[in-house]
Amino acid sequence: VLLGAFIVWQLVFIVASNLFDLFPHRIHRLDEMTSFRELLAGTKNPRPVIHALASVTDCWAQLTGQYQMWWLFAPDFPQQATFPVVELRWDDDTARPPIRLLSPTEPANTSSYFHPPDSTDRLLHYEVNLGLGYGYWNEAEVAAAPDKWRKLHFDMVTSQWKSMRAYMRWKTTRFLAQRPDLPPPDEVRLLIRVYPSPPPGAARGQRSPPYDLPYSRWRCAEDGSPDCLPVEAYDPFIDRYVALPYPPGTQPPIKVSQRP
Amino acid sequence: MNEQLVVGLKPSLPGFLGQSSWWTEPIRAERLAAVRVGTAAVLLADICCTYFPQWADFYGAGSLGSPEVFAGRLCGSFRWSLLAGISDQRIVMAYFGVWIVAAVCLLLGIFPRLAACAAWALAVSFQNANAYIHNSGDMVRQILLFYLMISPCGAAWSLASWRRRRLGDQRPAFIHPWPIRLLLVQLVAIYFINGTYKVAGEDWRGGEIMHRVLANVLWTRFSYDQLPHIPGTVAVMTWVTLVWELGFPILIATPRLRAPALWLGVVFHLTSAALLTLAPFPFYMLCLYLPFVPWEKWRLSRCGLPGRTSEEAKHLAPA
Repeated sequence: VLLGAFIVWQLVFIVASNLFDLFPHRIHRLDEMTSFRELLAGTKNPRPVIHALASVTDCWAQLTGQYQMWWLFAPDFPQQATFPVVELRWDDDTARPPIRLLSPTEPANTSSYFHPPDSTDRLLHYEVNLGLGYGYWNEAEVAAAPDKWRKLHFDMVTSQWKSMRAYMRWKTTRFLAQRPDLPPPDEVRLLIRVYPSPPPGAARGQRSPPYDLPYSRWRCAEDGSPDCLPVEAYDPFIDRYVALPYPPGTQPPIKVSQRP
Repeated sequence: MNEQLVVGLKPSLPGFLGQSSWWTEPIRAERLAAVRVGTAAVLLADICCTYFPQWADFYGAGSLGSPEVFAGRLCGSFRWSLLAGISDQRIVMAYFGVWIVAAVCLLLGIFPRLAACAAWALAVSFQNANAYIHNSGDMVRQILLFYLMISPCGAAWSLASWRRRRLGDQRPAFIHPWPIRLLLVQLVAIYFINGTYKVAGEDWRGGEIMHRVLANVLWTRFSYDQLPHIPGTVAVMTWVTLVWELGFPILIATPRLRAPALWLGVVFHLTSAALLTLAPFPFYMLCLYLPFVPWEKWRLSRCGLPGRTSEEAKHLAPA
């Protein structure tokens, strides 16, 4: 009888959880992104009943790892590719100019490359998550709605500062291991390199050149204010980095060693 | 000796499920064993090729999945991970070792359910400990391992079945069909829901998405410039994918269309594996196709073991 009940529950779970997800009902809570579809932080939940029902199927999905997220490249697909770029900076930049570290997944030549199926496929997914919002970055739309984009940009840094810092630290540590002659940097910046995709019908090799967008900054030489995130966000509208407060109700940050 | 050997508990199903032979009539155990062997083989390749070369970059202190990064995701939810709070990379390495042993045992059918349980627990743990390096393929992996853990996946092609034969029981093994049926429902849901999201996208309906995907230097294994350009191909690929995914429930339910729909799926997944950086997603998806192959017939005709064949032939059941 128990096995029969389990089979019926699995059928209900598969159908219901997939149907619930057709109607976005979860609000992003300003922590690292989940695999679920989520509405922007601060949005009022438009479907509280679906949300309540889905909490049951969500529990089962989380307990058993049976996440139902089937929207490969749908409904939209970004018109550009994004790669994170890490920039190391020393306060005395006249003596030591900044150094840029590119992603190992970024092709040296966009007209001819091969990405082998190996562990870089997984690294690539991490990097995609870091630059997710920039896949849709569009200068015209940003200029038309600066406040909306600023909030989105700041929310992304507030959500992902831990993974951003982990990425910056990881890249820096690996680089310094190869260059023991260099001191640890005072500041590490994360930029997103954007490669616009050619439009349909474009001739071979006809691609717009990539460009870099500053994203966030980690002043690893300083402890910073205890009330602010260790990673600052770049404000593209005033062209400087700004400190962001911890989101209300978040857990106290776990202390990790600052300087790489 | 001629009595049918059915391995596993018989479920008590309510209503029409209990009256449907599709849900109740035992099927050959090789169908589920194939899922087990396929999943284990892909899992082993996955661990060795996509995790192991950079395991210290992905897990442990100072890595991309340093414990503090995803700790918040485990709070206030039912997510869990055996790696939660673990910084010591020797422990992470030990977990990888257990995961590999579990995958090998699953492949060979040595205590397969226990192996599936360990492999599933570690798959969920590794995913939750560094969520950003995973994608939908890993969700399929966990679903496959979950069903293998709770079903008699060792009824055929396993140490236990080999022992049974050595003791003189030559009867072919059958299982109750529920794990295979639930996996099929899951497969149908995956494609149909994918199709539903796709049809909502303007660029999918307009036939432009495949161009965008193939021209994106992030998601492609080869440059768009290196691929042959045949006018109209990408639009056709877009629409065929859309129609195939949306129509999959009907295609699979129609006997004459089932085989072409599945072959199209095989081509689709192998092509995406060759062209796109989707990690092992296509291969885990193909594991869901394995129950459709009549393994028991293939074995009878290829092995041609006279005594066993005649005995088993009596028990050949339509799957």
